[in-house]
Order: sequence, then structure tokens, then C-alpha cells
Amino acid sequence: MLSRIASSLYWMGRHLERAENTARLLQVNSLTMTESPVNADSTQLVAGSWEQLLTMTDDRDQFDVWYTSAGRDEVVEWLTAHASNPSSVRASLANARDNARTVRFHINLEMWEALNRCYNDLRGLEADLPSYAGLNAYCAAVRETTNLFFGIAEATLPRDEGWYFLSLGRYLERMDNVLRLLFSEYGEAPHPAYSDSVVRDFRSRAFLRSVGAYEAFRKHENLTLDAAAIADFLLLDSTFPRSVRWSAERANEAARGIEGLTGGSPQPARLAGWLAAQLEYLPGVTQVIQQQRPSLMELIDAVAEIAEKTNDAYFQVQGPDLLLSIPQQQQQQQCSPH
Amino acid sequence: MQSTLERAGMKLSVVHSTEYLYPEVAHSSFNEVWMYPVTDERQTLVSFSFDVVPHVPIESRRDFFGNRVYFVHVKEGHTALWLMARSVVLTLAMPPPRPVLVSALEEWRNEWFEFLVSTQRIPLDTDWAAALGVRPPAPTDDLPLYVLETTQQLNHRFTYTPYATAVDTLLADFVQAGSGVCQDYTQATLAVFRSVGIPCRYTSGYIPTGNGPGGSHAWVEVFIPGSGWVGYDATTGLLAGAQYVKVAHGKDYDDCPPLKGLRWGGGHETLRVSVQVTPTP
Amino acid sequence: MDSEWLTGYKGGAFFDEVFTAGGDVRLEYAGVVAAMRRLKPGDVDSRRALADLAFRNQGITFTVYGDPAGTERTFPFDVFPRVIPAADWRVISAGLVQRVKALNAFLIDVYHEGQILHEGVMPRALVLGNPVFRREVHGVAVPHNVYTHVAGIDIVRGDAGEYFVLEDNVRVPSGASYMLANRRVMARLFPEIFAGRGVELVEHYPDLLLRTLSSLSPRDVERPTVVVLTPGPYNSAYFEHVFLAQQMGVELVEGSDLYVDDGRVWMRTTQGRQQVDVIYRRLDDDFIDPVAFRPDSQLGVPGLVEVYRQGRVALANALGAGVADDKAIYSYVPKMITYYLNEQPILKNIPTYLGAEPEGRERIFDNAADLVIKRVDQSGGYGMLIGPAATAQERADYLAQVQAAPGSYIAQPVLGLSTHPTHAADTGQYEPRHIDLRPFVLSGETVTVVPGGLTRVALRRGSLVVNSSQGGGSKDTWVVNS
Repeated sequence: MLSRIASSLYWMGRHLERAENTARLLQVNSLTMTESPVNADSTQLVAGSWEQLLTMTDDRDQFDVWYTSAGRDEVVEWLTAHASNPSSVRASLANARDNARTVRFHINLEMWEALNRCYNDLRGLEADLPSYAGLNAYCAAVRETTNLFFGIAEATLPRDEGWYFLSLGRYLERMDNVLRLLFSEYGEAPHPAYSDSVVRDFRSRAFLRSVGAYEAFRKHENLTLDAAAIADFLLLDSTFPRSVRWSAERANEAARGIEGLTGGSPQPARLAGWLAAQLEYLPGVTQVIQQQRPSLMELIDAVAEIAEKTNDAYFQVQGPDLLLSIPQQQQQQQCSPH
Repeated sequence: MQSTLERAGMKLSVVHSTEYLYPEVAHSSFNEVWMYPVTDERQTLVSFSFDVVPHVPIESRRDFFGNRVYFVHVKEGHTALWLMARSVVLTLAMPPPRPVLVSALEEWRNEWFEFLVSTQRIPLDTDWAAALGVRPPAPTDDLPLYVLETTQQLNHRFTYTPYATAVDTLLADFVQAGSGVCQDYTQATLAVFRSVGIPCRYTSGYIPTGNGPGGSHAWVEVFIPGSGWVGYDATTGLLAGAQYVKVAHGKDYDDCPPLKGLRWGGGHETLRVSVQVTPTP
Repeated sequence: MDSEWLTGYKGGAFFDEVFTAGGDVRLEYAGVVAAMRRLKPGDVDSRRALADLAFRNQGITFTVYGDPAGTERTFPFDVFPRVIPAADWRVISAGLVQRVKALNAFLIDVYHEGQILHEGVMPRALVLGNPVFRREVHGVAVPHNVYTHVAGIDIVRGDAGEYFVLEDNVRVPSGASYMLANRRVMARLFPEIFAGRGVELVEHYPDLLLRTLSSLSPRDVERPTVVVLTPGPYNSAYFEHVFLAQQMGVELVEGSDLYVDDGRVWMRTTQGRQQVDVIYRRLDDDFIDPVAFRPDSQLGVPGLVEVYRQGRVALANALGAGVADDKAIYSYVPKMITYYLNEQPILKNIPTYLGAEPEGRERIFDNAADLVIKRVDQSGGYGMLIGPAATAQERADYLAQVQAAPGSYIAQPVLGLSTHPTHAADTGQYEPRHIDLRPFVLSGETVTVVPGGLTRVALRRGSLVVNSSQGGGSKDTWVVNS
């Protein structure tokens, strides 16, 4: 398979996963804001929550260049369509669409049309983002598209190199996104423990919903909304498709699939396998959150390393870079010493 | 009657060094090189060597005009590119061209039409002869005499001034300013002759200059029916003699530059060229 | 439709492919018309709608230049096929083979000895002064002495139904994919009109093409690496590049997928680099190598031309073939046939007047109102003036351009192209529309013509322009063996 095609499929997976997760975050957060408890604690809750989305998506520095405050409108605009945010929903969809154009005939017509339609429709939906209904409609449109896209992919794409690159991109991105969410919630600057259990539980439920994990968690653990239990579930559950462990296993499968079909470098698969094994054999989430062996940041770095090695092994075959060419300076015929 | 003295030639040794220094890493470069002296009735190439650092395989071919061209592809990262061409040639002093009428050119213009048309460097949208005060030839004029006189006229018209111009100076600018070097003189001469319908070609090569190390040189070859392509040099105002080492010819500089290439990366390069042309016994 | 189908058809002043002047159905169409009339009323219309869907689902679309939404259009397809009588096809086919042989003889000559120029049969300036004459490949050897591996020779019919060659396309001729797609759709949607009619196959075209391309490989290996080089998805013919690559089972690459190293061309794959032997390039010479041609092109492969010169990669069509594509050169093709092959041309040229020649120039200026004047270097119906259809002012403006650069123009008498009954969207009736024919000729070790080709139809009432980007459509083309 051409490196360019493999790279496009991989990045398409990453961009669409990112768009979906960002859309879900925004949609859930918006709902949370409307429903949140009204007591003294919750005013801080309301003010803090939109801003928190920025730490989850690792955008803060860039955001601060453009905005002085992090309220609803600013954060929504930044995460959906700001021209200087390369991870915005709009940017992710535009990139995914460009990738899809490159691999147009490796995916089927419906997948292309879904992306193309969504990209065109979103422009119109952006005008209504300031309203609750508008934001909801926007996020719903994105999530429908990504669901449709991956659903058709699952049903129609042959399990060849192309499929594995698409999957690898998707699951690496998923791991990265969930790990960052966990980090923002349980990492370096944990949130003040809310004394009011109503508020505490409300926040836990909101957190689970923002990862699409509420119902699944409830089935798994219906008695408590304990922070440790949630973290454990999202990091280490073996059956929930958004858990880091589950995603690591799929990424490992994809990396092995690629290695098997191409006979290429064993590095990406080795690293993916190691990550999956670590997560499988961790005794519990406290080792990560409290003892930091490994820490959440180290796990995020491990995911990034798999991505880097994949890039090196499959997308960067030896050859000149694609910079603009420069003509060599020419020598004038002067018939005298220079 | 030619005396042996007049038919005497020379033996010349040429060393042409071209060095590019890149402040950043250059990832790859593709270069075409015209530095291989010709062998024709006037000149015989005795020995030639071409070395490049970094050491890379070099391809060679003959271009449309029959010049030998080297193709140098440097694919690894490099911060310097050095090309060295060394040659020894034997030249003959050619007898001056036989008299022939300008009207004799009529039947040759089709054959040599390429050396009569506009090029990017020498556009014929202006009447260059008029611009430089050169009278057009009458059909009954003696062609070689007309060409020689015009060459001398242009030689007096311009002032030889190194560094007044650069390799990409426009013809129109040179003509207006009047100061430049042999590449400019040659382009102006070609412009004049072409605008009055005399086929002529850009000739690139080397010449020893006085007691100094000599240099990379350009002059004009004009088609004289009955004598073939004859060299004239506006920089000296004379016919090209035995001390001229010819490398290549074309419609203009762009057809036979010493080096033409493209590279990726490297930043703003420094170019160092040195040429030594030495008569040897 | 039904037994009434086409009974109200009114031909125009032109030669109609289906109906004689007296209103009778021509012999070669009797079977098709009868079969269409046997279909149920409304059937043809509903199947026509299905055809459009079929094209879209198979991705047989093209992007219209400049459309920012990137919408893809299907190339309009008319279900009434064009049938070429077997006897006519025998002549056309022989004429095409002869013509392509002569064009290749011309190309190998002008890029080597140049005999035809030395002997004054063609003016030097016309050939060597042509901007697409590529000095960069003068003297380069080409496999089988062929330059035009894929040629699309456009053919039209005049008032009396006689065939003329309108244009030779030997640079990057397109349309073969539509020829294949049209046949597939017709066969699927109208199986009953095919039955027992003995229509010659076209579906082997990709196999023939692959065989032709493979035969050019400089390496003597069992499966040479052949690739299709495309400028990318923004090119209007991108669908065809994809389609042909898929049908041949070869990689579709862009310039950035290839690179030159060790004097060879390599492809970047997930399994490492792979050497490339033959490149079916769908991009013009100008853009194919920034080192040899336009340095600002990012579509090509740096250093490719040198590898080609050294004989380590083959290009189809060969570099420099464009000099045979030029409309002024076209007027000399009959001379090429007599000069190189010692034969009389089987297919006629349309009389052509060259702006480059004094008599031609005079002709153009004196008769502009009756001529079609075209630029020598453009195709697709762009840059031309149709004398009788233009206002006096339009003619005057155009002639001013011709005056400024006469060598860039040629003119031909206006030809009343033949018409073919075609569905008109606004009236729902079948009306006469002008058509042409582009057969495809493949040249490798041998020269092969695929039966039929692409019939293009000018969909706008009264229009003579058949090109897709200017409102053209196409029909399935049948050669019936008899």
C-alpha cells in the first residue's frame, strides 16, 4: 500500500475520533450546565466547567492568545470552529475530508458522501452555535456522521492494511483523548472535593457522560459513583469500548495486523503490545493515580510514541522532503577572476 | 596562403572549480553541468576529468545541440557541493572566413531558424540593431566584414566592468547602462545579429586573460555560408582565436550554463567559482 | 417507450446517423430501434434515471473545475446507442492504424534524424519551433519506436455521411473509462437490446492497456511494476485515472509517491521502496519534472526525465509526443502517411488553413465568417471562434488576436457534424444532436484499435461542442460484427 494512502487512512481515523470526542464533550457539558444544581457550590461548578474543557483538550496556551476569559461562548467557539485551533471540530472534519479525498476509492461512496455532506452542512450550523439548541444540533450532526462513517467502514471494508491503519489511528486517538480527560480530572491538579454529595455525584455522572460511559458504568457498578471506581473503569475495564485498556488492545491488534501484512518494522506493534499488557496486568487504578507507576502522563507519552514509530516505519520512506525547490545559483561568464 | 605560424594552435589547460556552501542541510539536489570541452575542426579535447564531492554516480548524455551534459544527483543531506572540471585541449588558429554576400544567408534561414528566434533572455520585441546604432546590412555587403565591423562597434560601445551586472541581468538593462561582462556583451551581440536576420549562437567556454588565471567566457558564433560557424567576440572586438576553449553552444546562456540545478533545503547558499586557463607548451 | 417511440423524430439539415433523408431507419439501426420499441412505455425513461444512479454509485463522476463544494457530476449519458456499420468500421479501423503508425514514424524521425525536415516535406520551424517539441528528449530511444501508446483520434461525419479525422490526441487522451462505463451500464440496464446483436466487446481494453504498458518495461521481469501517475483528485479526469488503475490492478500514484534514487524511479510503500518500470502518466510534460521542465511544478517527480533518458523507466505516452497533437501539424498528417508509409491516406483530414503560412493567413482573414478558427495549442473546444455563429464584433476581436500571433491559429470550413437522436430534457422527446467519435488506438509491439470508442454528444440544442466541461454527454458505441 502506498505510504500516502496508509497515512491518510490513519489520520482520517484520528481526525474523526477527535471530532467525535470533542463534539460529545461539548454536547454533554452544555446539558450539564443547564441541569446543574443551583446552590453556592454550583456557581463555581458552572463557572469552572467550560474552562475545564480546555485542559482536557490540551489547548490552553493557544486559547489564551485569542481570548481573555473562558466562558461558554469563547470555549464553544474555540473548540468548534476557531481558525487558529488545529484541533477544532471544523479543522478535524476538514482534515478528515481531505484525507478521504485522497483515499476516495479505498472507502466507499457512502462514507465519502457522509463526510462531504457533514462538512458542507456544518458551515450553516455554525451560525446557531451561541444557542443551546444550536450547539446541540451541531454536535449531534458531527456524532451522527462519525457513527455512520465508522459503521459503514466496519460493515464494508475488507480487513486489509487500509482497515488496520484506519483502526490504529482511531484507537490511538481515543486513548489519547480519554487519558487526557482522566488527567484533567484526577491528575496533577485534582478538583476540590465537593462536600455536597449531590453535587459530587452530579459531577461524576457528567464526567462519565462526557466519555459516553454512564450507562456502561452503571451496569458494571451500580452502587457507587466513587471517583476511584470511575477512574478504574475508564482506564482498565476490559469490555467497555472507550476504556483505555480496551482501546489499547484494539490498537495492538491493528499494529500487529499491519506488521503481518507488510513485514515492516516490529517497533509499533511491540510498543502497542507492551502498553496493552501493562494495562492488563495493572492491579488497580491507584497504582497509576496515586503511585504514578506509570503516571497518566507517561501513558499519554507511550501512546504518542506508538504514533511516532508508526509514522517512522510506514509513512516516512527514504526520499527528499516535499519542500519547495530552490534553483541553484548560476555562475556568470565574466572572463575574469572571481 | 596560410603560413605555419598562422595555422599554429595552442595547448591549454583548464581547471574550473565550482563550490556551493549551504548554511542549512540541503536534502537533495539535481544538477546539469556543461563543462566538457568540444572536439571539432578547431579544437581537440586531449584529456578531461570531472570530480564531485560528495561522491555520487554521474550520468552523461548529449543534448539537442550536441553538447555533452553531466547529470549530478546528490541525494544525501549535504552542506557543500564541489564540482571540479579539468581539461586539456589543443586548438588551431582558424583561417578567417571567406568573403560571401549577406544575401547568401537567405537559403540558410530555414535551416538555422532556431538561432534567429526570440528567447526569454534575448527577446526580439525590440529592434536591437537600431537601439545600438548598428546599421542593418545590405544584401550586397560582405557578410564576414559586416559581422566583424559590428563586433568592433559593439566592443567600443560597451565598457567592460566586472560586477556591474549579474548572471540574471536583463538584456535591456545592460543595453541601457552599457557596462557589463562578456556574458552581457554576447547577449547584446546575439540580439543585434538576430534582429537583422543573421543566425548566431551563444558559445560558452574559457579564455586565458593576460597574465592572470583566466576565466569562464562567452562569445558568439555566426553562421557564414561557405565557412560554417565562426566565432566573434565583442568583448575583444576580434575573431575567436586559438586561445578560445569552447565548451558548448545554444540559443542563449540558458541552453548551456556551466551549471543549472534544483535543490531542496540548504538555505541561502554561497557560490564560489574559480577558473584557471593556462597555455601549456 | 413503445411502438410509437421515435416516430415523430424530426431530423435537421444535417446527416442523421439513424434516419435517412426520407425518414427511414437505417439498416444498421433497424434491430436496435425495434428492440427499444418492444420495451414497455415508460421503461426507457425509468432505466435512463437508473443509469445516472448507476454511474454515481460506481463513482463515475468528475469534478467541475472551480466548484468549491467539490460536488461531483456524472457525465450525462444518453441511452440510445450509436451503431457503426461493420463495413464502415473496417475502413475506419484500418485508417486509424495507418494514421497512428504514421504519427509514430513522424515522432521517431523528428526526435532523431529529422529526415522529413531535411527533405523539406515539412517546415522546420513548424516542428522544431513548436513549444511542445521537447529538445530535452531529442535522441532518446523509446521502446518499440512508439511515442503514442494511447491515442484518441477524433472522427466526425460530414453532410454526406463521409468520415473525417477532426483531431489527433496523443498527449494525454481521456475518455476510455467512459467508453467502458457506458457499455457496462447499457448491458446492465438494457440487456434485451443487446441479445443476439453481435456487438463487439470493449471490456478487454484494460487488459490490452496493461499488456501494452508492460511491454515497455526496461527490466525484463515477469511482472513489471506499472503505475498510473495522476495529478490528483482535483483534476477533472481523476475518475478515469482511478478507474483504469483499478481495472488494471496497478497502483495509482501522485508525484509525491515517487522519487528518483540511483538512477531509477521508486515508489514509497508501507513495505519499503519498490522500483517502478512503467509510468502511465496522465500529466502533461510541462509538469512532470521540475528539474527538466517547469520548476514550479509540484505534481511531478524531480529527476524523472534523466532516468527516462537513460532508459531505466518507460513513460506512456512518451515525452514530446505533443508535437504530433498540434492542430497545425495535423494538416500535414496525410503527407506523413505518404512519406513514411508510401500509402494513400485511408481517412481524410478536414481542409485546414495555417495562420503560419501566408496563403493560409489570407484565407482566414478573407473568410472568417465561414470558418471555424482555432488556436493550435488548445483543445476541448476552448479558444475557438465559430465564424457563422459569431457577431461581426466577435469576429473582429478574434481576428485581432490572430493578427498578433498568426502562427498560433488555424482555420477549417465549418463542418455540419452528423446528428443522432438524443433525449432532450426539456421536451422529453428525442431530438437530433451533433456527435463525434473518439476511438482508442493502443500501440506497443503491435497497433490495436478497440471497437467503437467514445461517442460524445453536444447536449445543448444547436451546439457543436461535445466536451464534458462544456455541456457534453456520451452514448454507448456499438460495432456490430456481420
